[in-house]
Amino acid sequence: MSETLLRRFLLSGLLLLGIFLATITRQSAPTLPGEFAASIAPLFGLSYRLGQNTKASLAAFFDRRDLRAEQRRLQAELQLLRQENQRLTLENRRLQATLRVQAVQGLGVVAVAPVINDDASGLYQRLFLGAGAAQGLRVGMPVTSMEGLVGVITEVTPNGAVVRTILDPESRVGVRLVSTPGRGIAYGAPPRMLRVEIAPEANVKPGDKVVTGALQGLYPAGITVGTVEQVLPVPPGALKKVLLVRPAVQLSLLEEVQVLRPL
Amino acid sequence: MRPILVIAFAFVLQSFLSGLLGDTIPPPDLIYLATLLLSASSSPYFGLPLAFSVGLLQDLLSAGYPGLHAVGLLLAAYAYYRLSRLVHWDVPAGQMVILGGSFVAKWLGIILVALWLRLGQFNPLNLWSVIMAEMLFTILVAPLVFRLYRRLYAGPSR
Repeated sequence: MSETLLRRFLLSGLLLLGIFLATITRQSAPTLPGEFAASIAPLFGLSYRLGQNTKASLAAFFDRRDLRAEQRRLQAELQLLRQENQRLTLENRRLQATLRVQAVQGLGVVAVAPVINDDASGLYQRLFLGAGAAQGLRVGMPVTSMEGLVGVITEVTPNGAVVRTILDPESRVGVRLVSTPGRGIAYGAPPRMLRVEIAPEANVKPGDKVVTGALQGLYPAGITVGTVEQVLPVPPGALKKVLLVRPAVQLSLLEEVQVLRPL
Repeated sequence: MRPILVIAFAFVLQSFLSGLLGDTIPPPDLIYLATLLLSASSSPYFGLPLAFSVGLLQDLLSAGYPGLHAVGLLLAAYAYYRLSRLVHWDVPAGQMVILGGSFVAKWLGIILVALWLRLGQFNPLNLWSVIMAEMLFTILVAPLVFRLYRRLYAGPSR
C-alpha cells in the first residue's frame, strides 16, 4: 500500500469516525459533552475571567481618559456660556433702561453710550463717554438715565464725549416742583447735592419731587432731577427760597447713559 | 509532552482572548494554529490523529457535537500536508498560502459535519462574517505564534 493511499485511508477513517461520533451523540448532546465541559470548565474559566477582567480594566482606563477630556471640554464650554450670559445680561439691562427712558420720559434716544470714566479732580463733576461724533453725539445733547437726569454734553471727539453733570458747579438746570407750583434753577453743589433756588412763595417741603422745566430750553421738561431733602430758612426780605435736593441719579454707579435729541 | 503543553497553552490563551475580546470581535483560532504547528513538526500518521484528537477535545470542552471541530482540524491538517508539498512552509508567501488553504479546509470540515447533522444555522451564509474575521485575525497573529514557538522549541522541522 502506497504512502499516499495510507494517508487517504487514515483521513477517511478519521473523517468517518468524526461523523459517526457526531451522529450518535446528536440525540444525547449536549448532556454527554456538557458534563465533560462542566468538569473541565474551571480550568479554562480562570483564563477566560482573566481576559474579561483585562478587558474591563482597559475599558475603565479608556473611559476615564474620555471622561477627563469630556470634562475639560465641558468646562471650556461652561466658561464660554458664562461669558455669553454676562454679555446678554448687560445687553438686557441696557435695552431695558433705554426702553424705560423712552416709555417714562417719552424722548427720542439718539444713542446709548457707556460711561468710561469720571472726572478725577473732585471739583468738576463730569463724565466721559465711550461714544462721540461717530455715534451721532453732538454738543448740547441732554444725557439721562433710567433714574433721572444726568447732564449735558459739552465736548465731543470722534469717539468720546464729555458730560457736564447736574452736580457740576457750572451746571444750571431749569426745574419745577411736581406736587406744587413753583419754578427755579438748580445749581450743582458738589460733592452730591443740588442747590435749587425757587420763589419764596412756593409751598415746598422735604420729600417733594423736582423735575426739569423748559425754562432755558436745554433739557426736555418732566425728567426727574431729584428729591427735596432740606428747605433752608428764608431770611427776611430774601428774594429766593433755597432747597437742598438730592439727585435721583447716583453718578458714581452709572455704567451707561442715554443721550437724547437736543431741543 | 511537548504537544500536551502546546495544546494546553493554546486552550488557556484562547480562553483568555475570548474573555478579552468578548462578543465584539471573533478571536483568532490559536488552537488551530497550535495544531498546525504540531502537525508541521510530525508525520501525517501522527499529525492527522493528533489534529482529530485536539478537535474532539475542543468539541467536548465547548459542550458541542463531538466531531464538529475534530473533522475541521483533521481536514486542516490534511490540507497542510497536501499544500506543503506544493509550496514551502518556510517561505512567508508559502506560509500564507498554506495557512489560508488549511483554514478554508477547517471550515469546510465543520460545515460538512454541520450539514450531515442538519444544523441549519451552521451554514456559510450565516457564518461568513465570523469566518472572515477569524481568518483575518488568525493569519495576522500567526507569525507571532510561529516565532514564539520557534523560540521556545528551537524551530519546527518536518
